Amino acid sequence: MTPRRVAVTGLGAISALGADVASLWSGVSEGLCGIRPIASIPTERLTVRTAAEIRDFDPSAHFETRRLLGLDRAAQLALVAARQAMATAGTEGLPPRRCGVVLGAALGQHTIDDSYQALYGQAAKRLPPLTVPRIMPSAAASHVSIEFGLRGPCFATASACASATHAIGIAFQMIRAGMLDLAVTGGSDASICVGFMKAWDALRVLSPDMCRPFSRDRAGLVIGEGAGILVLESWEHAQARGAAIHAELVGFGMSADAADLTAPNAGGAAQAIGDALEDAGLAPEQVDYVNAHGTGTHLNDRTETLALARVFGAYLRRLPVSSSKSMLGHCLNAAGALELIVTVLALREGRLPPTIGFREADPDCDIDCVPNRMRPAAIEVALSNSFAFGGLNAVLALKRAA
Amino acid sequence: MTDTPQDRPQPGDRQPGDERTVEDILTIVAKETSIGRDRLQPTARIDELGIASIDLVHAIFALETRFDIEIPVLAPQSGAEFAVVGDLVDHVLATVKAARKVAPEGAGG
Repeated sequence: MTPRRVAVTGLGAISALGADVASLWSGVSEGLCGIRPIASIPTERLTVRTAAEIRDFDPSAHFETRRLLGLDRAAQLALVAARQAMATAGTEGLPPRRCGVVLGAALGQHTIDDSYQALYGQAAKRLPPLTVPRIMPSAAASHVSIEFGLRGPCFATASACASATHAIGIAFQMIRAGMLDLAVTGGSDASICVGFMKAWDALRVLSPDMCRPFSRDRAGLVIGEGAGILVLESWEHAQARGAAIHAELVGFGMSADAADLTAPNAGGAAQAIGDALEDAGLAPEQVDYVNAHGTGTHLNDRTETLALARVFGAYLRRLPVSSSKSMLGHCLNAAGALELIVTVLALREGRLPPTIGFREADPDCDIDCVPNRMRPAAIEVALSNSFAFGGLNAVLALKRAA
Repeated sequence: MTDTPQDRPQPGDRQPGDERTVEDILTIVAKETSIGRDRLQPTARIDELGIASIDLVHAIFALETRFDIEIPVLAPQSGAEFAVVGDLVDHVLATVKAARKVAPEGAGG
């Protein structure tokens, strides 16, 4: 049996660049930076005080007071993005059990932080009854299935900063294999809390100001928050209902470095990239653009360049590779989803998103990182990379819808 | 404070001044369970009122917070195990009064 084709038919996003896909894309196209001084939490105890925060998000504009009792910020962001994505997707004619939800695990970080603060800081006698279901990493997936009445498989994938990419890849495989006709997939993350930011401080990988991937003077990553949700549909169903197809998902590769807890490994990353190409039946030279993991740490960007060189060889000199984290920050469990949406739009709109904040070429990152300015380019095939702590790698391959 | 069954507050006869506390309790229960105050009669069965178990948990949380009391999760008289509205009200009232005996009203936060 020929595997079924998988269409991307719905997109939803909320990020530091704005509360919808249009503002994400206009921000990325203009090379706007979502990184600013942290405003949502007290920063006196933080060493690093910048992040890519969502500004002006009012939960009560989106949810009833009662419902908010059970919604951590991470789930709120997921639902806001899912509503956008579902607005253009169509479940008509599909039995609910043929529609699933696979999201990257999103811990209720704000709930954890607030609870510990209340318990240990203020000696609170009790915590709110819905503390547990707010914290659980699968909460966002449950809320999406409940809101849209989707009764197929619903779960969350955990692979640190590759969680959303693994989620999308698994949803893609389930549709391709005929297990599902439609999947709501992606990820959300809201981790800008005092406790978690202190934990990142301790790793000494945070940049004090900007995120400058592939630039010789890069100083580390910047934490971001947001949600990216995609609706995937079997190609036949999408076509039958005359859906606007944003792009086609064609391949997924994943691997484990089996090496180090924090240091990335070029071999593991290259294996995932190569597997995504093989899965898609693509030759390396067919790839027109790579949306990099590109965290802006010395080690990641150098290792990612090595991995790309292993797969693409001399062709890498002609292959644009950019990092959206320079604008969105590192949205952790949501990063792969927001970056895949940027990649979908790059294909659809024929524009390469830039790597902003780039100042100086680094011989260890000898790539065309589309520095600082968006570049028009009619592209047909693109990859999106995610390489997580613990050596967990996931790469998705996309084709322009045709 | 230990919480052996013999220490557990028992519903006693209503005394003057209790009515205000009872009204406070019922107002909180009505708000947290979205059940009309007029339906919260002492003999009304909690399961028949259609109160979701999580809403009762919300109500108990709100009562604990409002009166600064603990309503332990212990059989037989806890959480979803209150059979009728009167059981819940009596238990909360007795707990509130027991707490006031220990720390007279106005002394606590």
